[in-house]
Amino acid sequence: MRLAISASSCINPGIFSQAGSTETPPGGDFQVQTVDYKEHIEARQLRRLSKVAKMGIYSAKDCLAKTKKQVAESLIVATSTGGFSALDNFISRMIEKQEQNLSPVYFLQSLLSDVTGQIVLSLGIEGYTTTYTNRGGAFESSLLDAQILLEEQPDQTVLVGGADELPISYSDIIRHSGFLDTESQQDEPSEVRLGENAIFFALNKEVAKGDVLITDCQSYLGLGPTQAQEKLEAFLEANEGATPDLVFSGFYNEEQFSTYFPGLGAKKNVVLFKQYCGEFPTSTAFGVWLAEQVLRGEISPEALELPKTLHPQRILIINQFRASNFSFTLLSTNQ
Amino acid sequence: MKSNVYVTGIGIVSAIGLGRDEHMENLWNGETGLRSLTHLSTVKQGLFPAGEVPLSDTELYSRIQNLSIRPEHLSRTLLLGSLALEEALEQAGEGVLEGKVGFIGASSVGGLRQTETYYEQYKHGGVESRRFQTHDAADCIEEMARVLGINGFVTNINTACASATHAIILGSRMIRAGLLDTVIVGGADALTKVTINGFDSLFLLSKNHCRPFDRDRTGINLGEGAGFLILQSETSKRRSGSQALASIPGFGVRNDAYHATSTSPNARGLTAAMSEALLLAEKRPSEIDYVNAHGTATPNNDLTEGVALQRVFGDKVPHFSSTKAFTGHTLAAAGAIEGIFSVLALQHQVIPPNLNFENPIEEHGLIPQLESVTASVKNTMSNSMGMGGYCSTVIFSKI
Repeated sequence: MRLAISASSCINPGIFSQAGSTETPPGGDFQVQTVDYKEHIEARQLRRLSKVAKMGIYSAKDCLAKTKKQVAESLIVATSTGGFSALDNFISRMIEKQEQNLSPVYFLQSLLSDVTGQIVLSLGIEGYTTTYTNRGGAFESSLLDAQILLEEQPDQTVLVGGADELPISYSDIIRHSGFLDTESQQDEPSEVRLGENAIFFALNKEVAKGDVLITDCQSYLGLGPTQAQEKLEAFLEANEGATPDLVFSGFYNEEQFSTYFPGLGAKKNVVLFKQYCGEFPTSTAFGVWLAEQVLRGEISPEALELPKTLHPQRILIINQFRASNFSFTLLSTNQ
Repeated sequence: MKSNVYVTGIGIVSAIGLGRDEHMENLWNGETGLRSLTHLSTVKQGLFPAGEVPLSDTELYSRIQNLSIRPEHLSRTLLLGSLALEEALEQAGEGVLEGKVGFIGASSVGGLRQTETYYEQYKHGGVESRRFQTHDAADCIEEMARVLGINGFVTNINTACASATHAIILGSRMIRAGLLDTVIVGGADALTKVTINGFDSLFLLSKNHCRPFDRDRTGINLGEGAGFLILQSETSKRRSGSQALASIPGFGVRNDAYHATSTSPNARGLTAAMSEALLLAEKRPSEIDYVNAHGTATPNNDLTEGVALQRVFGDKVPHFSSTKAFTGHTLAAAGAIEGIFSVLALQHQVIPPNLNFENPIEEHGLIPQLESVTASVKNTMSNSMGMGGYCSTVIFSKI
């Protein structure tokens, strides 16, 4: 894989906010609150959109505006909780009104495929469009698809993004149902801050010196610790052998990380990146964005509580979702 | 040189049967699967005919032979999917799951049936709230992959009613790119109250049996079902000794970029997808012998799809039919079910009919295939369109 990131945009409610609010309460879930959507979306259109569609359009447009041509031919979106607020509304009303006189607005907004469709209409993209919805593997699938697409049609700009929303109805259900732990063996429920976000990247095949590249991304389903280590070894083998100096881990704490990758934390600088974005299915998109910012020098290692002397050229993102979806993504600066 | 993509197994479940044989028989005899709902509990049971698979969840479960799906992941979508998957794997034969194996599913509904049943418990806690893990449509796909021991590339696509066609296409592209040797592609969706009420709120459902491409068509009948196809590269097929049922020489994906729920007047997205598929397959339009149309029987779809067919094929539109008056519109599974019908047409050298047609649509005057016939069928095309402007087309060729 060799994808050049020509631009990116991230609505992040945490401390690295580009567009969103920084009002996330300490310890609370990461909620996007004060984005001025009118910058990128007409008021008339705004009223008809779900939150994930608003966030998605804003981020996709903001990303595209930063590219030279300001045009993308194709669009690939990953989402797993998109439209949940609308689904909550639709189901609740359906039960309450015994299936009578329902508004189609919530139904349309509840479709996971809607966010992509709305971005298409905003940007007028007539080429390849698709939506991946497989939780912690959806953004990874999008990157792989973009890679194939840019081999097939090398001159394109492909817009690839992850977008997930976190309405209260959803966070309540997540906590009641033990959803984050249902595939793991642990007895204690994970105490993790949840998040929502929309992050888009403009990707190209053509690579220039100094570009930040996504050089590999592999996703897996249902790995145990031993298998995960074997897969990581194979992944690194295929990518110059050595582990990069900086690892972004999507595990919730060091103990959990070392269960899967013992010793790695002691040898390398590891950042538990979900402390900056919360947990959501397409969180790898945030990890990639954060890595890109660090490699570009936009975010200093110190801001991530790393040694000032660290000048990473490669960053590895190891992510997990529900101890079920696993992925390794590697970014580097093109020398 | 890109590897050829071969279909070596197909498995199917819908309102007209369990398995390929029942489907062939009912397609040939023109036997519809549309009827009143009995297994889905809704106040609209008698109001809208639907393509409901005529078995309860327990009956479906009892028919699964080999796949040991975990009870906590059970959903009707998973049951339908598992039955189709078993049939496809059995046909492809042993040894197909060796090498680089992937699983590309398409479900839009997933475990929504549990969600709408247990929603109060999900929200407020309760013994059934653990079932929430089945809610994501990805859950049933991931469970099927896990049961087969596939832990590499596993994904779920949701491009609404085009989902499974997108899945077939991604699988084909991954084989061509050399990223996978074998890939299971397809889709599954069960009927739910949310979908019935959602489509009803959009005034898209017909109270009568749907009439694709008819002047007086009045909308969709929803359906449920699943279809899975085993795709293999040349090398993988040779290694497993599987027999090719068809090849996939071309496909196209575009977006109509016109409106969230309706197609542009000249169906530019679908036209471009069909043209792209022909170009990639290096086929002339005259080489396509049968088109399985999306044909939902809504006023908008059948008008614009007809226009697209004329734009691509000129005044020589091939035999075409929408099979949705047999199965109902099976949403994310539709592309797989109809792709399988397109493979069956090649294998059996038949053209499945379009039921309930009387008068052509004035604007394009196209008449679909009205009776099942035997014919020389070398190349077939399957079209899908989904809300959000998604358009996709696959071409299947006889071996």
